[in-house]
Amino acid sequence: MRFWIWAHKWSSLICTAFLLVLCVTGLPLIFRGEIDHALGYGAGGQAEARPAPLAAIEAAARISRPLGKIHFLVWEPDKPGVITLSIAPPGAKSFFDNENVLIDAATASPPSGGDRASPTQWLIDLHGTLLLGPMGPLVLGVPAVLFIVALVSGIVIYGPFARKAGFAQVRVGRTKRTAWLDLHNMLGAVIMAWMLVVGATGLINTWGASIIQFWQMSELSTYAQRGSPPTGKTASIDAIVAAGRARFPDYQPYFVAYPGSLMAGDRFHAVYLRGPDGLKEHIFQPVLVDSVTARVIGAPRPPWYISALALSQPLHFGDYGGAPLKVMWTLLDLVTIAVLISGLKLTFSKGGRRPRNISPEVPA
Amino acid sequence: MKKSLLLAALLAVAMLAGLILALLGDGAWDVVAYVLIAPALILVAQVSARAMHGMRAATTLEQSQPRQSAKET
Repeated sequence: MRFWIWAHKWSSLICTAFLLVLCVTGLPLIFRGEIDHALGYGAGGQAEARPAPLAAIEAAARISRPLGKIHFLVWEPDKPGVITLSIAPPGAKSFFDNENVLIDAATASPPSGGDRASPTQWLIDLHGTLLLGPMGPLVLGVPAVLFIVALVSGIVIYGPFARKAGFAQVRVGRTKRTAWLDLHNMLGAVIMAWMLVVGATGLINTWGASIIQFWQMSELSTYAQRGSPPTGKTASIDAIVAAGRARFPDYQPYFVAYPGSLMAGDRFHAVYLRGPDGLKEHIFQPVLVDSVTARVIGAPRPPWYISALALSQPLHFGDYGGAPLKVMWTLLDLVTIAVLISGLKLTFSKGGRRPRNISPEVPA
Repeated sequence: MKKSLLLAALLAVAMLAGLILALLGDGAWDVVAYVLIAPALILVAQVSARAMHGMRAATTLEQSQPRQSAKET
């Protein structure tokens, strides 16, 4: 038991500062779509209007960033009527240097709220990379692992205590420190499952770029030879997307990865589609389309680790079950902050003056 | 005290089931998910209220302790 107490103390202490930053920045990200809309970013799109040709949207983005290279064209679910283009500026070293440009899908011009990404994009960068660029996810992987160690060790320590005293019991008539200890233990135990899910999906998300790179090298690269040599004229983006959609008529386009980006090949675009409902809505289906002929060269079923990565996004941010789930996510996030602060208080406060005739606290 | 551990396990299973069911679709699935996740939040509110009560009681006890000691001496 001493080992578990030691493991819980030190794993928690090391990751708490990171977790506080992640919990605080994660709160507004639960309502990212609503915040962007309220601030006017991407709010000018006309969801019901007839969409302009994608080639016109590409051209509008190129006017905005004439020297940049388009990497992704995205239909963001929380920005209806607006298309986001992720563009690598000249000299970009990695995906993390990309800039987002918003274009109105109906008029192929910048939306009324402006074509730049909203301030919540800065929060996403802080939450996902700590503003450290490609190093960020690697750095964040350490506290994510420690968080899971802290949760597992917390279960091991709390189990015997709960067996004796009862689950979710707060001892009244003891010291203040005991009340803090009970609060810490109870809150942590009650939302343990949620914290494990958010911690584990956060860990998977930090590995996201590496997981995709592995997929690209191990599976997508096998399609490289099937595409035409990249010397010919590139086909229209509308023809490429139409070819992808024709393969799965019930599916909706989610994003297009361009050659040279993380999720396509040198000779093919990858059109990523989303299913109509259920799990298919969250797990994307790639269709690889020859960049020159706009001919489908493959539609590989994503491997399990890519599906796990795709499911990790909604399970981490809680933006998949409507407004009530977002409110629940917010409350659970606030409870996690309370667990972290009570843990800090217990660690850094002295043992506290114990009134006479009161038995020592049960260590937990 | 097996009951208390069973309650903990049930809460965890309900939470996990709720999180997964919400992924399956809109409408009824979402409502079932809310119903499964809500008990944890209700228990959090109850526990927090009890902890606040415990803290107030502890403060009163700690404040009364020195006065008693002074009287005794």
